[in-house]
Amino acid sequence: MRLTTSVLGASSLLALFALASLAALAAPSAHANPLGNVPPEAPAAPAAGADKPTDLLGTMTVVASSARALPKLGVVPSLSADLEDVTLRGVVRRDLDLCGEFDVLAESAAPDGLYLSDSAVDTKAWGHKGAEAVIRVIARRTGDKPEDEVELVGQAYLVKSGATPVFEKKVMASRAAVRTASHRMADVLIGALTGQNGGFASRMTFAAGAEKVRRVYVIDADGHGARAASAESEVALGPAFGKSEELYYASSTGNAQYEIRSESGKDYPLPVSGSVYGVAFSKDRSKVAVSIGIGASIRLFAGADFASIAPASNAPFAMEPTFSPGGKLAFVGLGLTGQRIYVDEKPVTPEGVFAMSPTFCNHPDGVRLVFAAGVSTDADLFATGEQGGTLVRLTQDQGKNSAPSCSPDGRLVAFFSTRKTGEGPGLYIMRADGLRPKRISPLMGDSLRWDALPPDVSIKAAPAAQSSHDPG
Amino acid sequence: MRSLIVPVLVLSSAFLMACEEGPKPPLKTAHSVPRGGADGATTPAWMTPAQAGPRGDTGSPTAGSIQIDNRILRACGNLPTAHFPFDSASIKGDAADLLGALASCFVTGPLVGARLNLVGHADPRGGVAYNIALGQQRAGSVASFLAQRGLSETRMGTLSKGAFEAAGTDENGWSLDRKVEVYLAD
Repeated sequence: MRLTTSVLGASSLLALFALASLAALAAPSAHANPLGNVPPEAPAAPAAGADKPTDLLGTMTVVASSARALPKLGVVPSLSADLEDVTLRGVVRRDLDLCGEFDVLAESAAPDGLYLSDSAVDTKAWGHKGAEAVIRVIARRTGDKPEDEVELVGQAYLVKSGATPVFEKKVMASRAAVRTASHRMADVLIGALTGQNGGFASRMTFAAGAEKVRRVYVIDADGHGARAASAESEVALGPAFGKSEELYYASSTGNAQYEIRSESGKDYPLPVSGSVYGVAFSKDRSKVAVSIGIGASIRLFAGADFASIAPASNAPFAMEPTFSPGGKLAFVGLGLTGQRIYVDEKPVTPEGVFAMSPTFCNHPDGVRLVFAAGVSTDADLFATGEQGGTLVRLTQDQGKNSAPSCSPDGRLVAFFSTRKTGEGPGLYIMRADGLRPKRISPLMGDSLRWDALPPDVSIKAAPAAQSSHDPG
Repeated sequence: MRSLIVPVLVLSSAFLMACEEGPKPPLKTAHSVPRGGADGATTPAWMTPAQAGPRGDTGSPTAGSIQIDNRILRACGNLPTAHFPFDSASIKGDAADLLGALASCFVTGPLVGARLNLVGHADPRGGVAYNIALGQQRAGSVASFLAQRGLSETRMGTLSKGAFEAAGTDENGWSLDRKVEVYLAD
């Protein structure tokens, strides 16, 4: 995809990065416990005297509604009732809120104004409301026919830089692609304000079910558009996006062994006989890993494609495979006294901790391994280095938190929670440091994956705009 | 004395952390489970009396039941029951006799040449992957036993549904959740 961006003067860019720096100051490193109570190095074995599970995992208290100050951001309202304009504004506003980098002002806090599409942005008035930056987005139909495209415009203003946008982007999209184009617009606006694009042009997949029905689902990164991707007649589990950006999962029909199937209905026979319980693809899709039940155990295989898989681990019950951004293969396997996470065959979580569901966050501060661990009768999320090390607790006293998956930009973690407080049980996303959890859906499930959307050919650069920057 | 206490505490931690609704010991593997008990196989040394439970099929994490599909019962004719307790760590006694009869039905009896699927289940305590592993272990142990009685492994499919269909909310219910279902493959 080629998007066209007008990047304005150098002085504006300096101001832009000043704001980005401010955001960085407000956003603590994922390596540090946000409350400063960093547990000691993860022990190779449980510490003597650890008389309850939480002693192994640290005792910090996560305050979900942390009052940590983030840059205040205004989103210009609009009186337009056009569906495309409403969609663009709604999607961008929500993505900016969900991304955890800003404190987005409520629409009711917007300064008085007409808010027509050609009205100037009164940055001074926004400044009086506490905003440090302002976002304006506009969607305009280019004609009345259904096939006529829609122009989407996104602008970022810094209050201290006045009424000239410091960043502007224009794209053309089919009407059917306006929602996706809106997420892409939000991502580049996040990039303009923080120095790295957001990850909302993406989708998640997970498995869920009740009684004998178990299906895999796909849902947008903001919780919109949940749909079943497998048939009700099959038992489906372990979904993952893979080659050709298709959705793959393990499927069993009529109590037969699980086989790999794609959403398009194609089956993928393996050279190894057994039930498939999980599949993973490397980020560049050049490698695949498969957990296969053989006899009374479950073994891990990997290769360039399904037809060429070979044993990849000697660990018994090797499940939930996933690849790091650099291609390292992680999985869950049995330790001596619990379940451990292995990265390239090396256990990286402490013995005695019941660890599960590894995922890698390609965070700007460095790659982080995030996983769930059983704590008493609940489960919580933890982060550590790509090869283990210091543990940082991301959730606590908020029910069972499970199945974490990192956003494509590495700054967010999605997970399921049974919490009864706040927004209640469902699918959440939060910053990779554990702050600002927000529910995006009441749906519950497991085996969550979060991947970027493939390029959309129906979204392209606006013809009249300058072509000076392609944020991807 | 401290060195004796710590391993017990660690194991207790693992039990608790494995659980969604209550304690569940870790999976048994050749290297993870100390042998214990008079027969050295059925009751791990780390299992406390409370975990062992009051009845044989409810106390052991490897205990459960086998349920045989009606189509197999009708075809074989000589299987006395469709539902019987077993322990996947050591299949013996009545369970061994019944599975032996099942194997004979497929090796020399009316279902010669037919295939079967073994579906393992777990109770709802523990994580998704862990319960899938338990179900696979149960199904695999039955498959191994049937193979020893002459039924080719190529005629058996094993799969686990973990706790997907579990309904138990207490020990009695959990004991019903832990099972292996035997289906005639289509």
